[in-house]
Amino acid sequence: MNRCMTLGAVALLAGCASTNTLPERTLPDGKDYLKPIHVMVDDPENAAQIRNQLRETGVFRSVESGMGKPGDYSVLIRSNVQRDMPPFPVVLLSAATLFLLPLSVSIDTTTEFSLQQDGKSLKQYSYRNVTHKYSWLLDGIGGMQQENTTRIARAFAQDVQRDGVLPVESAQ
Amino acid sequence: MLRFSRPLAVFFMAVALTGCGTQPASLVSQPLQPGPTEPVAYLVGSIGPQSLIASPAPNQRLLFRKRGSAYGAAGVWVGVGRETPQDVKDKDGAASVFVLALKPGDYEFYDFQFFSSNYSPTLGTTFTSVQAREKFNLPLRLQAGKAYYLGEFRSLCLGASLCAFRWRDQLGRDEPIARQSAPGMPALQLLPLDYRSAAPYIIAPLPAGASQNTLLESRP
Repeated sequence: MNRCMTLGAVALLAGCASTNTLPERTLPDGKDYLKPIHVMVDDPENAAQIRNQLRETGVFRSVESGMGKPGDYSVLIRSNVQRDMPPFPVVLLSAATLFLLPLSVSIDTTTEFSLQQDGKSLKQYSYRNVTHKYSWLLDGIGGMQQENTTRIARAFAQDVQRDGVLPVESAQ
Repeated sequence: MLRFSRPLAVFFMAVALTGCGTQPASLVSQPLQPGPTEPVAYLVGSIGPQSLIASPAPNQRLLFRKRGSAYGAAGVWVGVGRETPQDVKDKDGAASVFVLALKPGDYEFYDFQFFSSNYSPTLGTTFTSVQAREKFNLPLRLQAGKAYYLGEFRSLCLGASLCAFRWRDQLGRDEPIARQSAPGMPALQLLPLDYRSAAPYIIAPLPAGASQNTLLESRP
C-alpha cells in the first residue's frame, strides 16, 4: 500500500516536470560583453520576446532591433515551431473531466541564427529543442514556450562567446 | 490571567502599527543575499512618483538582475496599504530610499514595473502592469566593500501606459536616509550610467562635459 502511494507520488511529481532535449547551458560569469548585435526575427509577434531572452543571457552588450549602421553586427533569426497536442477526442475527454486527465503537450522548435556583418554571413548556428510536458488542471502549459526558447537563446549565446566570431566590447 | 502592563501594551501597539504597516523598499532574491561573514556591495537609490496625481500606479519598482542568471533585486515604492517608508515627501510627490545589500559581481539594471489595480463595478478588479517591451541594459560592476549610489528615479506618467522615470543626483539627501537602514555602509559614490540607451523610459539631463561618464562615439 505504502509502496503504491510512493510510486504514485513519484509518478505524479516526475510526470509533471517538463523535459527538454537541449541541455541547459551555464554561462560564465565576469567575462567582457560582446559587441552589440542587431537582431531581426522572421516572427514579428515573438520578436521582442526573443530579443529579451538574448538580453537575459548577459553575453551581449546590447541587443537592438532593426538593421543597424554599416559595420554593425546583425543576427537573422528564423524559427520553426511545431506544437503537438494529443488527438482532439482526448482533449475533449480531458476537458470533460475538468482537466484531471493529463495531456501530453510538446513544443518542437528549430531555430537558425545567421550572424552577419554588412550583409556578409560570418557563421550559421542551428538549434533544436523539444520541450515535453504532461499538463493537467493544477499544472498548465504556461511558461513552456518561454522555457523552450530560453534554452535556445542561451545555447546560441554560449556558442558565440566560445567561437570568438563576435569581437569583445572594449571596457570603458 | 495574563495581564498587560501599560508600557507593554503601548509597545505592542507600536509594533503592530509600524512593523505590519510597512514593508522594506529593497528586495533581494535569496541567492544574491550575502551571508553574515561574506563581502557585501551596496546599491542605493530612491524611487517614487514625481507627483501622486500624475503617476497614479501605487506599486513601482526598478529591476536589477545578476548578469546571466535568473536571480534579481528590486528597489520598490508602494504608496497604498503596506507602504514602503516614505523617506522623501515633496509638495505633491513621495519617494523611498532603497539599500540593496548584494553579493559583489556583475549586475544589470534592465527593467522597471508599474503595477496597479482598478476596481470597476462591471469588470471587477483588474490588474495592470507596465514594463519595457524591449528591455534595456545598463551594466553595473559592483565590487566588494563599496557602496554605489544610482540616483533618484521619479516617475511621470501620461495616461495609464506611458510612464517614464526622471533621473536626478540626490546623493546629499539620500545618503543619511540610507545610512539609517545600513549603519555600517561605506561612503556612497555616484555610479554614473549612460541612460541614453534607456531613453524612452529613463530621462536624464543631457551629459554636460565630464560631469557624466558617457560612452564616446567612435564611429565615423
